[in-house]
Amino acid sequence: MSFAREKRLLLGLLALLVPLPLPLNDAVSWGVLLLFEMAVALYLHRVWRGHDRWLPNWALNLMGLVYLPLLALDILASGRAQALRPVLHLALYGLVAKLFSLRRERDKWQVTIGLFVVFLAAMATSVHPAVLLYLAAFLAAALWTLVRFAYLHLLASFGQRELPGVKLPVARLLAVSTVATLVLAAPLFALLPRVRSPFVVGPGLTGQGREPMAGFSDEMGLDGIGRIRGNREVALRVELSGVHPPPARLRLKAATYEGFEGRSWRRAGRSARGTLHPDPLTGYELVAGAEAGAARIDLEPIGAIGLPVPVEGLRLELDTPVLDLDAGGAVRLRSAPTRLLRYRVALGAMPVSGADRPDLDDPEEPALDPLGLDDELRALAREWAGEGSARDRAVRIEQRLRTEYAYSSEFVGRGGADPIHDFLFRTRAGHCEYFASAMVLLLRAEGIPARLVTGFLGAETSSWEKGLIVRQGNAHAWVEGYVEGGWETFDPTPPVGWPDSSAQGMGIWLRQAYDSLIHRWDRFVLSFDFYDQVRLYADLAGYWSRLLAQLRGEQGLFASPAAEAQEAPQEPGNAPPATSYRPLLALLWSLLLATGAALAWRSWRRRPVWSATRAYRLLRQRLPAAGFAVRDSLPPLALATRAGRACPEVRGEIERLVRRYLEEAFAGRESGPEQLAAARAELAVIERALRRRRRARRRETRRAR
Amino acid sequence: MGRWADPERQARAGVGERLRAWYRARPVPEGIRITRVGLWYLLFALLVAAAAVNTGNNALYMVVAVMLALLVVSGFVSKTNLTRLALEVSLPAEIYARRPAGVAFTLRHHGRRLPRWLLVLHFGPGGRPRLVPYLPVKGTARGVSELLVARRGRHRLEHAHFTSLFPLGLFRKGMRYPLGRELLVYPELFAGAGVDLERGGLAGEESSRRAGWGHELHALRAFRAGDDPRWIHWRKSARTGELIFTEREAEETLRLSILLDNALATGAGEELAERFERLVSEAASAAVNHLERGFEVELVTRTTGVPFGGGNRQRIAILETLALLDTVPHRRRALTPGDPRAKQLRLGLAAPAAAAEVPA
Repeated sequence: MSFAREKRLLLGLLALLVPLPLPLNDAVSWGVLLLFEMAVALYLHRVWRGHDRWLPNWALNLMGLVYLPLLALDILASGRAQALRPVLHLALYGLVAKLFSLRRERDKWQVTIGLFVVFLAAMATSVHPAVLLYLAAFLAAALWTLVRFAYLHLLASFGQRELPGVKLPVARLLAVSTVATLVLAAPLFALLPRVRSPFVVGPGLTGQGREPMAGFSDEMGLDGIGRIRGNREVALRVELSGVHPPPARLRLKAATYEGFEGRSWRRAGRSARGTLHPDPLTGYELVAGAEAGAARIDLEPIGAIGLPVPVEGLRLELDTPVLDLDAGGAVRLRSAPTRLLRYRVALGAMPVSGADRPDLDDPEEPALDPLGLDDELRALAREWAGEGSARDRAVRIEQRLRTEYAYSSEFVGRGGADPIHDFLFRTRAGHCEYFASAMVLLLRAEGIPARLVTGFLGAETSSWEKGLIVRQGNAHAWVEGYVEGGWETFDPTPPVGWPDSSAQGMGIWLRQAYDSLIHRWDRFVLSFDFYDQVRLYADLAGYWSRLLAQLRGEQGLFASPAAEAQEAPQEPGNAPPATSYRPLLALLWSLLLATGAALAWRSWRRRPVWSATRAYRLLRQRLPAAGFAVRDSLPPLALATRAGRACPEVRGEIERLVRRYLEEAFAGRESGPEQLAAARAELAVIERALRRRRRARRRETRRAR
Repeated sequence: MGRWADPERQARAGVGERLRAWYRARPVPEGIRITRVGLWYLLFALLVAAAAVNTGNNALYMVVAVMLALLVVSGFVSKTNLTRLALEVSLPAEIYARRPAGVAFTLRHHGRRLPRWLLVLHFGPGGRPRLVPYLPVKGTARGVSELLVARRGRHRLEHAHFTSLFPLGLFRKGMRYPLGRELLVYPELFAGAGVDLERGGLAGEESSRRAGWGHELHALRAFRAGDDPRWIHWRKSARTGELIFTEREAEETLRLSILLDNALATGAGEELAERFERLVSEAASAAVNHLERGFEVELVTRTTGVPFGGGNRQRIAILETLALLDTVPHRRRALTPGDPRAKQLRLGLAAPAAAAEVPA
């Protein structure tokens, strides 16, 4: 194979691999990728067949001119939000053109640079951990290509034009190098300096995160939550401590809605408290109260500005300058987060609400908005509520809905002119938004301020993570009603319709493993920032100092600072024992012994097999030390004669040893155990004689000086 | 590699001497040069690093980390690729200045894990290097490389140089292995150097059809006073009754005296030194040429000489003498040949070159 053909093949194969992740990241469409791959396949076919006619420069220029109007159309169609897409289309088109016009050495390097640029684009737009596989594959392919290029370059410099018959086996080395590179890259990744917040490119190259999650936007339809009830995507992770509700009853409030418009709800307006500013010590104060527990939450970028907070939430610690509250006490961010968001919530012992107190005398009070009420509904409310306090009436309405209506997700997507009316009087079945919406209207018909609340209910435990997992399918809608001078939570959805997080099984276990992997990837790779570097350094420094302390015998490796603070004070006269380095020395000695044992074992494993031939070779090695020159060309019999003459005291042993060697090496007679033992003994005698001779020569030399 | 030429000395060597010998015999890294591909690689690594820092995109940080890690791994592999090699060379018997000499080598790989790839061996500037594409673990490669020495004289082939672009062609690394071999480089030979035989002298082995002291019979004549009585033809004398003398033929001379005046005035410049070297080469060329044609050649200089002789042994002796010939300060005394009857080739900076003299 000629050099040019091999280079073309290598570049073509690399071109097949490089753009594969782009459609998965929504950077280019599948159609564009397919076109590109077909063009590269055609190129490879031409190369394999040995075609040697490639596009001349004028054709290349013409292709560029032809593409210009297409590029303009592409830019106009993509818009500013997806500015990278036309650039990628141009890069792929340019690569195809360059491949088909690859004639000179520098064309090869231009194609290589183009492939690298596309690789960078594929990496920069990837958010899935599978990009590591792509990185490893590209690394291996690039290593192979560069090694072959270096080889061909050397051969060309020595005047060769065709590949020699000798193969260059580098597969194992390349595999090991790829793994070593990836392993070494991990700490380098952690150490490279970060000066900006991490930027994660979202789908469609917008950097805007995922599609906004239904149910938490400013306007919410009656099917938003019902549609995502089966969605297994993780919405957030919670680590609870102290007093907290059980996982199945964990309720997180994300948004509240007050204005009903027949088929949708409008979000509650801003709270009378206005914008919240954090206290430097305690964070954002939501509701006054004593902290009984805490929740540390990692919120995935679900595309919503509502911040899910447990209904027991008192204070919020979040790295943001300001927060907003709506009138229903739900927390709102200024913009939807595009990456993982961590915050801590201090919990009280009971559910609380930071909603504004309603003005019962105000006919414009949003929580008493009569929109959606009609006579039939008022009559129903009157019938269900009966007499009694507001709480009693609310509870009765809640119970009627729970017991007399069925939960069903079949009504998702269906809605008439008055879906709540249909739900209450005709179908008598629906999902959580219908139940909650109906209860809000019924409570308002009874003059009880009420609003719709959306958020999450329930969480599942995971074998792979410390905390709880809340999925998008845990989204739920319930009601807050103002009774007895305070806001209380009511959930009219039958329990069978509550999100179920108790399922078990292999499928759930595998799903949790996958979610854990994705979470760790998002948390520790995509969102790795300067503060993570500082924490990593602090953790490593802490582990190192605890290791040293343990080696000195001062404390355990994982002792906590609190445990250290609770150590009993020393009594007077009993000075603390001096620092002991015995454990450290013991460790060092153990390491040395272990190393020595390993080396000895290795040496014993590699020991050569004892034979007469080996004895003869050892004899040849020992003789020069005694002053007897042994040339390589000296045959065995001559050696025996001369050595015997030089060392007459061991002449017999030398002759017997040499004879054994000749029989073994040339006569094909294998030495048995007795002969080998005899050879060993003869060699030992000869060595002793040679050592005596050597000492005698040294004494003579010293005397002569 | 010739660390210990004398086994007795090796046996007597103490620890310190052994360590010194090991230190002298160890391979020495010979520097690292970045190639054009390496320059582009570093440039792109910097560009991607700048993009990563500027955007905060951790995927780009991953690419930078991999590129830097690849540099480290590549450096380690390329360094390992030049170690654990053992080289044995077999120098040719005759090495001439400015003429490539083939040096046979045997390269062994003593390592245990990784083979060696893309090794380029050369013995110094000028000679053509030799590529060893692949050397397996414990493998052996044999070949012939070129050695080119510019000047005659005693030289020392200190090192063999290995370079390699392996693995990625980003850097060219070198390592030199000590050889410590002595070379005697003969003067450069010119083709066609010789002396006009027509102007030859009288002493030699070919008959010249004149009366002289050769071996062939020229004539029988009466014995005259002064003739050598050993050459009396007794049979003819008995037959004729008077003393008959056997007269022999004179022989043509096949001897050449090369008289090379190696006197050089003190303070002579480069140009004269170059001219002297050229004269030495002419002398060597003439000697080799005439010896091949059956001449007996003698070399006479101011400091040393080689008496008449022929054959390969004489050629070696003359070439060795010329290889080691040094200049001396200028002297007036003329050089005298060993046989005045032999042809002469006088060479020197004072006299014109290749002036053959006919003896009186």
